[in-house]
Amino acid sequence: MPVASALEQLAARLDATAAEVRSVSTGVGNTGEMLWSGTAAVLFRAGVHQRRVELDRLAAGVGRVAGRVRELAASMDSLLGDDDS
Amino acid sequence: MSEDPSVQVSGGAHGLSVALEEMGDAAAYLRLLGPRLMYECGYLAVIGVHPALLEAQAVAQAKGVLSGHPAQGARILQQVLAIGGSGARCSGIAEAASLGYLSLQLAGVVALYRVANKVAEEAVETLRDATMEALSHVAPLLLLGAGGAAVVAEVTGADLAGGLDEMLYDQPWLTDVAVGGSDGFIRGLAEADPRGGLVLAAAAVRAGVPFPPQDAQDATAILAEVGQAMGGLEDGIPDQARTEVVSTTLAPGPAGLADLATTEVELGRGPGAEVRIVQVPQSDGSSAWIVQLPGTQRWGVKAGDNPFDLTTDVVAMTGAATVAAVGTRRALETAMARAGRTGGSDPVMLVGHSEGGILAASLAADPTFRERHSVRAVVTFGAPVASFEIPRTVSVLSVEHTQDPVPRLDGAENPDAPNWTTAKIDLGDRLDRATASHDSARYAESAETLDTLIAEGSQPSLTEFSTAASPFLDGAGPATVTDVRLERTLPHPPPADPPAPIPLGEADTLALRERQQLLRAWQ
Repeated sequence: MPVASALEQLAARLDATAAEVRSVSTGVGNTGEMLWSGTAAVLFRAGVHQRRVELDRLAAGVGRVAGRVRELAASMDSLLGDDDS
Repeated sequence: MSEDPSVQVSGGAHGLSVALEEMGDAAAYLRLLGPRLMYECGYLAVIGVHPALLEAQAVAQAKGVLSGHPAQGARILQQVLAIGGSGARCSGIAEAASLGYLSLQLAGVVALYRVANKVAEEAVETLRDATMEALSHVAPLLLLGAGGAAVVAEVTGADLAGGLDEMLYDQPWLTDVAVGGSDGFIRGLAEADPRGGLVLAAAAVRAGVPFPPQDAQDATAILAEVGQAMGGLEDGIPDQARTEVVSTTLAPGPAGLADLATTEVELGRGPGAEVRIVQVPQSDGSSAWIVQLPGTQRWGVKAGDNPFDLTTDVVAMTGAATVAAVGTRRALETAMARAGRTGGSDPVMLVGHSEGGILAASLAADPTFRERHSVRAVVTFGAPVASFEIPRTVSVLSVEHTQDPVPRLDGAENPDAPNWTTAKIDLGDRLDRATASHDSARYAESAETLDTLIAEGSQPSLTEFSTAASPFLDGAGPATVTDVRLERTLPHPPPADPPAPIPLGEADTLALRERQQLLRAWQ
C-alpha cells in the first residue's frame, strides 16, 4: 500500500478514536445529568465533571495526533513526488 | 424563577428515590463506558509501532539519502518519532481506570445511603415505641392529670385544649411521637394491666391483626375494634350505601390546584354528606372525571347517616372498605351513566381534604376500584395517606402543612416514589393553632402558592405532576358538575318512634307516694 495512503488511513482511524473518546465523554456527561440531587450526587457530579474534562482533553490530543499524521502524509507526498512506492 | 423557602417538595419524578435509582443507573453506565475507552486506549498505546509509521520512517530515510534531500528525510523522521511519542503519552489508560473507580464509588454510595436510611428509620421507630411504652405505664396517672386539668379548666376557665392546640402548632413532631409509637403504647397498656391486655388481645383477634401490634396501622385496627365493642365507630354495610343526585350544573373546569382546593372548601361548608363529580370534556370527545370528597363532617363516636364522620376516618385508616368509599364509587358511576359514558377507559382523578384525602387514597389503592376505573391521579390536602399502597401508574400529590397534625396521624412519611410528590408548606407564624392549619381554606391559599411554583417551573416534581394531571386541569370549556349525596344505612338503626311509656300500676303509685312522704319528713 502506498505510504501516504496508509498514513491517511491511520489519520482517519485516529479521528475515529478521537470521536469515540468524545462519545465516552458525552456519556460521562449524561451520567452527570442523571445525578439529580442529594449531597452524594453533588460530589459525584464533580467527579464526573473532572472525568469529562480529562476525556475531552484526551480526545483533543488524539485529534492533534491525527493532524500530525496528515501533515506527515503530505510531507511524504512531497518527498516521494509521483513515486509513491 | 424563584424558590419559596416555605415550600418543601419531596418525592415525585425528581425525588430522592429517583435520584438513588439514577445514581445506580449512572454507575452501571460508567461501567459500560470503561471498556469502550480501554479499547481505544489500547490502540493509542501501540501507535508508535503502527505499520504505516514504521514504513514512513524507513521510506523517508532511504528516499532522503537517495534523492539528495537528507534534511527533508531527517525532518520526516522527527515527525514520525513525535507522533509515536504523542500516541504513547495520550494513551488514557489511567483515564479508563478512573472511570471504573468512579463507577464503583457511585454504586457504593448508593448502597451505603440505602442501608443508612433503613437503620435511621428503624432507630426512630424504636425510640418512638420505647417512649410511648413508658408513657402507657403511667396512663392512670395521666388520666388523673387530665381529670385534674378538667377541674382546673372548670374553676379557672383556663383553655387547656387550646393550649394543646397551640403547643402542637409550635411542636408538630409531638404528633409523630404519639402516633408513631401507638403500637408501643398498646403493648405498654397490656403490660401495665393484664385485664386490659386480654381485652386488647381479643380485639386484635377480631380485627385480624397480630398482638402485640406491629405498627401504627395494627394499633388503629385494635382501637377501632375496641371502639366498636363499646358501641361506637360502627360503619354500616358498605354495599348498602345510598346515593342521591342533588344537582347537575355546567361550570368552568378547574384550572389548577387552587380550584380543586376551593371546591373542597365549598363541600366542607355545604349541606354535608355530598361528593362532587366533575366531567371534563377532552378534545378527542372522551371525558376525564374528577371526584372530590369532603373532610370529616361529624365528629361523634356513634355513626350516623352522614358517612363523612369519625367512624369512616378510623375504619378507612385500617384499610377496610367503607360506606363512604362504596358510595363515592356509585356516585361516580351514576354521573358517568347520566353522561352516557360507560366502561373504565375514562381517566379519573380523586381529590380530597382530610378524610376525603384518606378515601381518595384508599380508592386508588383498591384493586377492585381500579379494575372498574382508570385512576390516573390523586390529590390530597392535609390527609394521612402514607400507608396506602398506590401503584406507580397513579400520580399522587399530597399537600401538607408542616403544623397540621392530621397528615401525621398515620405515623409515617409519604413514600419518596417517582409517582408520589409531597409538598409541605410551613405556615410559620401566620397562625397559632394546629387545628387552624388543617382548615381547607388555608389549604386553598397554599394551593395557590403551588400553582405559582408550577407556572414558574421552579419545582420539577410539581411540574411533572401538573403534566400528568393536565387532562383534568386544562380549565378549557364547560365542565358538568354533579353533586351527589351519600347516606349510610345503619346496621342497628334507632327505633323510628320512642317506646310508649309503661303506665304506672296502683302498687307503683302507692310506693311513689310513700317515698315522697318520707322525703318531705326527712327534709
